[in-house]
Amino acid sequence: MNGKKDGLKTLFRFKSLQTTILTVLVTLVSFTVLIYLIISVRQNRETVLETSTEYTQQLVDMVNVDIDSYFSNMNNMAQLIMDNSNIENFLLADRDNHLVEKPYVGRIEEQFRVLRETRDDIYNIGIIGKSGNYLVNNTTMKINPYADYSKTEWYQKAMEGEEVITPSHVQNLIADEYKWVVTLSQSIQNKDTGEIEGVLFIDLNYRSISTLCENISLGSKGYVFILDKDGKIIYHPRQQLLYSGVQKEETGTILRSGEGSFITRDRERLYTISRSHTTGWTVVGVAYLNEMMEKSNQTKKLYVLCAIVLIFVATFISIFLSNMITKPIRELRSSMKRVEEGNLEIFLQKPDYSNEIADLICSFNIMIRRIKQLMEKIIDEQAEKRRSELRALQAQINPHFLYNTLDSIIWMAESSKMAEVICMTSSLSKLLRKSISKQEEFVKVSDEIDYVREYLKIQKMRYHDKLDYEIDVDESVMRTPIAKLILQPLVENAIYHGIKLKEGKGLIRITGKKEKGKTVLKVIDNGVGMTKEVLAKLFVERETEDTGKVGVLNVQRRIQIYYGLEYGIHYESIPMQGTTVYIEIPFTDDFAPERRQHHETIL
Amino acid sequence: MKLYFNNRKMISSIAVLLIFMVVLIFAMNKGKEKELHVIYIPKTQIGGNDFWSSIRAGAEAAAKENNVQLEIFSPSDETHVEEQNQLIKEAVAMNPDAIVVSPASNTENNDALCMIKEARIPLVYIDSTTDEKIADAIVATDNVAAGKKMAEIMLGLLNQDSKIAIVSHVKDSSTAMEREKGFRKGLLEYESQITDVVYSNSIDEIGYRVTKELLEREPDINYLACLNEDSAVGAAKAVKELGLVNQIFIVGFDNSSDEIKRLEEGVFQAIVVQRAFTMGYFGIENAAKLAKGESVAEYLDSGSVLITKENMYQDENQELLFPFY
Repeated sequence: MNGKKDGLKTLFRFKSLQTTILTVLVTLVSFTVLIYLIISVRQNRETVLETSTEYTQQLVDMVNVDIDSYFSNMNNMAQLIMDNSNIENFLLADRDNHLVEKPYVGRIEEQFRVLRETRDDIYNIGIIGKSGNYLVNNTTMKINPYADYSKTEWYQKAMEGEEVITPSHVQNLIADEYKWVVTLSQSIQNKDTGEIEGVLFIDLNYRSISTLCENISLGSKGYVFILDKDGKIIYHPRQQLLYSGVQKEETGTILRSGEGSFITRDRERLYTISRSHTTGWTVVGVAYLNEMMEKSNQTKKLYVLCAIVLIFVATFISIFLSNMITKPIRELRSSMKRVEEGNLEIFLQKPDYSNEIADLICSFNIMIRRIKQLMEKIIDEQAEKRRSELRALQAQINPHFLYNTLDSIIWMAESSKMAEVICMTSSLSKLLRKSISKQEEFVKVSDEIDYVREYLKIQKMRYHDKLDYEIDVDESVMRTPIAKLILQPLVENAIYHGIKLKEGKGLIRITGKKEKGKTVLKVIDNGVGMTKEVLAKLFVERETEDTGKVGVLNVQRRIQIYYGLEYGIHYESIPMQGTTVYIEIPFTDDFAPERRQHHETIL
Repeated sequence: MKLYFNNRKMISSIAVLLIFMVVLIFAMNKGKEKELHVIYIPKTQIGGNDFWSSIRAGAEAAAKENNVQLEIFSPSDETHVEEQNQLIKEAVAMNPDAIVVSPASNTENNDALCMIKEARIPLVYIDSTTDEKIADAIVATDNVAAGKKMAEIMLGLLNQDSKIAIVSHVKDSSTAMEREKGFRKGLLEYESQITDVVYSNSIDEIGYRVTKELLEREPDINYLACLNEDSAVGAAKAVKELGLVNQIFIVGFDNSSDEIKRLEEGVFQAIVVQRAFTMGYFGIENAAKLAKGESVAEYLDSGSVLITKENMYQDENQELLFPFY
């Protein structure tokens, strides 16, 4: 139960909005169409059944009316015969009194002959007196000597005064003739005494009754049959099958039910009943429901076909509609996804319609614009922050260096080496002025070289027996702009980590030239050099970095911030032989410091 | 227009909907039966003979009810077995849905009938059978039982002095053999008192002649069983002519107006009548069922009725005796 519920839930948990809309639409349309279909088909079925029932009832009633009028005709004829006074004479006459010669016999014969000739559905007309006088058709008619009329129903009941219409039976009165007839019989009363003197009978061709039924068409299988008041079969197209017990007729149900119609329990046949008061007969029409319903079935087929076409059309329209409805949403979603991936350069076309989704798109555009503005602001602020940090950095001159230099000056002054004091002091003063005075971030390579030269002068004076330097920079690169204070920290490193630790005198060479479109500066020392391990750790950020000291990493970052990742510094070193630092910056002949600015925003 | 069907469930539900509709359409078109073509080959021309016209009436009734287009190919005479075989071959050539045959001979039809089975056409026998088991279904009077009925009405009257004779029709026909067998069985201990069996060859004139000769040769025969219509009519004529009415107890078989007249006259004490209409009806119905692939009873007894002068005008009997076709 639970699992089934879950299954149903997941069945309707569609991944996309379009599918959901489509499913809901199609389900609704299908449901509506199917309900409509069921109601229409049922309604149609009922209507057809009703019409067919009415039609059958009319047919059956018509048969009954025909039979009634037929028999009232016959009754009139019987009345006519009985009004003939000759009949009475005949019946009252003695049996052996040479009847044939009596003139009234001839008159009776003549009447019978006329009637039989005008109505070919009359087989026999006869009178039988209780004395045994009889006349059938005419006196020459040969009578079957073995036939015993006195035992027949039509004779006995008529003698009791009843008007009889027999069920269909074989009339054996006439020799060599065995004809199926319906016999009409009535008593003949003595007009004076009222006593029953004999019986008048008319044998009607059974065909005249059966054709009335056979002519009625109730589909190819349907039929009409007639029962008398006791439920005996008068006419039935399948009489043989009924008598041999092969088939059964619903006689019981028919006799029990009144006028009208009923459908058999297996819903196969429709019985329509009509009773006659004249004959007491029951005319029953049997129609097969599947035949009656054939038209209804055709209509049903048409309905179902229409429903299918409708559902298909609805499905396609739904696909179209759901696609249309969800299209802006899908676009919005894919735009969102791109924003998610970091692309803020998106602007959605404002749709030409106005609804919630249009509002959503407008809001989306506004939101993206705001995000973009905020991002730019953050980037600007970050860059500004970094610049101020760098400025602070540039402004610094290592206090140790300052202290050592001043110490050296004091010491030289004490030794009265005035020329050296003047030289060192002037270099220091130049150095300080260069680092303080200029607020620009970029200087020419020549300026930077000048700065380094002053620095080296001071250091050479301090380590006069240990340090030597050469500066060999091409004139072509001298105008290249370079971030301030790039070279000096590297030279400082070369002195303190390379030359200072070396036995004997060390040399620092600074070269500069254009290589492959770049300006390449080199700081070459012949100091102690570095092992590969030390070299590898050079650019690793250290947790406890001395903020006062300008590290290699710091220089590297600054170059890359200003110029991009394809520029920077790298080291080559051989232990005990020396180290070379390569500084690569873009080559420009034209110094315009403000143009460097845009590189920052990239980061 | 690009459509987004990223959901398998959606596609499968549409597919289910489609399949459902197609099935619906097919289900609606089903139930329309096609008309079946069935050929019936009786033993003889259907005309005056009431037995065969009753069979035809039954066959036609069944054809109407089972949506069958029925064709009847009749040979000119019951003794023309070759002609019947030819008709069977013609029927096979038409490749109907089923063939119904009343074989004229117990043995001579076998080859032709086998052709029906070779063509895989359902085959039903009506009235008569053959000595080989070829047909898918048989609808016939239980002739043994019918023969017994003839004996049963005699039983109460027979005594040790009774002499019984049989007027049979065709010596090797299945109906003649079975009726005789039933009659002999029904006679119980009196069976030994059957003195003679004569054959009419299904011609009343011969029946008349052989019976007359028999009765002249053996004047103390007082019980006669006639095994078919022609034998009965011939025998009755002989008895009447010899002035032996009421001295000889005769039981006839089948009905014709001639026989009925003799029954009414009292020449026949009784006749056994087959339910020919029923036979024809079930013969065609079973053929239709076989053609549709349904199973039917291999043998169906259509039944017979013993009719005497007293009950001949009863509703259910007059219908049998006086068919109005």
